[in-house]
Amino acid sequence: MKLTCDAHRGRHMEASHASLNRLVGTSVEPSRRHLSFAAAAAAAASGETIFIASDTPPVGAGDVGAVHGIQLVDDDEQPPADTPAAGGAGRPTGPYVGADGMERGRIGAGGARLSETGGNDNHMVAEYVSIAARIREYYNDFPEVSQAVPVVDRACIDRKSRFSTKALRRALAFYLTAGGCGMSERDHLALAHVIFDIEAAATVGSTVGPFTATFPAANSFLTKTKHEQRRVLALRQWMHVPIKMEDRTFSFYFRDALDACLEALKTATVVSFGPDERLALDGDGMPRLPRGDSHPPAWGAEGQGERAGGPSISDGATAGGTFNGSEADVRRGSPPRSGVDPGAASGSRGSLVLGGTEGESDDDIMPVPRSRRSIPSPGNNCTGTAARSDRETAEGSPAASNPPVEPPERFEHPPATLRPSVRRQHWPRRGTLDSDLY
Amino acid sequence: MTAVQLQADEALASLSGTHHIFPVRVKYVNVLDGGGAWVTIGYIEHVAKAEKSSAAARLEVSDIRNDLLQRCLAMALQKLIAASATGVTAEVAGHGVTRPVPRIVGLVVDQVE
Repeated sequence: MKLTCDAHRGRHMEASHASLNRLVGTSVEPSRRHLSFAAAAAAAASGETIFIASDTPPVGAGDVGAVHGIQLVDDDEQPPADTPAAGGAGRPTGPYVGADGMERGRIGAGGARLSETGGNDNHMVAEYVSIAARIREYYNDFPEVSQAVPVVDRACIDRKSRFSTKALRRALAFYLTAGGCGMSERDHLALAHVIFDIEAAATVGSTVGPFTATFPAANSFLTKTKHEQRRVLALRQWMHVPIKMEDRTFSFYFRDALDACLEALKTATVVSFGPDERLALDGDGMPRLPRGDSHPPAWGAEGQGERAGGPSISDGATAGGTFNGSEADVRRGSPPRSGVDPGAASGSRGSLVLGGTEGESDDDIMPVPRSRRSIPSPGNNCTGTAARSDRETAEGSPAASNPPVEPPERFEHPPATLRPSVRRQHWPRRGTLDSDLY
Repeated sequence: MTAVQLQADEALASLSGTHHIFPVRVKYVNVLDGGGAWVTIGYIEHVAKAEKSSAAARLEVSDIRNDLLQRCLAMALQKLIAASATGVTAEVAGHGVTRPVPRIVGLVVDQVE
């Protein structure tokens, strides 16, 4: 089968060869430096269409399925029959590519070569076996990666802002976000005149107001607003890059997410890294993990198949008896589900219930707008596990009948004014631009 | 670990109602100020519907939207993805100099594709 369009090829790969590497067969080849053996490098340079006949492993290099000298083999880690090492030590000494597109085998001196720039590509081996790194390299090969330029001149950072008071910044934010997309210049001037009149009426017989003192004329307000926009754009390092797709070019304005992350972490008031925060900061948290004779961890909460009375033998029996005490504790101490727990990441048990559920579904990972949440009944405890635990204990729940076991204090609670369990989840206003710049 | 949530939704970009844009917003879950704030990190150009009503034309527009979204996200998250493997040394409020490892834990995009 020969597919001429990348989109068609991609869909064909998804539908018929789901187990194969989706990058194989695309016209945009991954970085050539990853092809650490000569045949593959020559194949990448040839520019020919890659055919993938079937998912079955080939017997030899000359069989159907050999792609430009790369030997396709099955996922069972069996090396090709004609691999030099196959008849020798049993394991190949050189690299070969499996049917899933992943390189296998020993990648050492046999796979070493000098790159086109003269460097040794041995250090790229670790990246090569990572499919995430290959996808990353796939996107890094696009031309727009090196074409990003600042939206405005960096010299604009040195300009002094005229919007030095809260009232002036609010006036600026209103102009930029009114109606969802901001006001036109004509409305901008009208707004300035309205503010002038209000200040004049409010300060009759006294000094002029701050708005009038800062902007003598309406056009000055308009000009300084544009200057302020450029200053903030330069300060936040906004970039612009053209993205070419076939015969169309799209403009993408962006700022780096990592820079924004570091800035947010630096300028924030309260930052929490979760219950293990103290252990992580101490640098050696592993020996302090809970053991069989210790208290249950703070996050081993009720309602997740756990009892407040601590570990028991039945826990291991439930899991088939394959877990000893420490393993059971580790399982008990881990989050209730595999994957990332946003509540643990934020240090807020209450934030688990972002979607209005009790953390049993993916709603706790994907926050849902308030209008789409299910409203729990008053009896339905949806304010977090910690609050639920307190209430159940107070009402004489089964947990209260057990000997009270105080969980160890694993982390410092945030101040009482910051109650994460009742904090309202903020969500961007739908269909509008925002004024978070100011 | 620094949890990162991504969200993109179509927004109006002109008073006439004819121009739209996709702001890409990021929320850093570990930052608890005011329940967490969304930070806009990009504006993706809107790809209009196909002029022709044929399936091929709709498929072409769909492909363009898909590719554009992925390539825009790849650009905006380029350094963050690299930092998600090794972490980055940074100053964190209340914690001093630490080594946060940013990880993307959620992506919500209101787009047909």
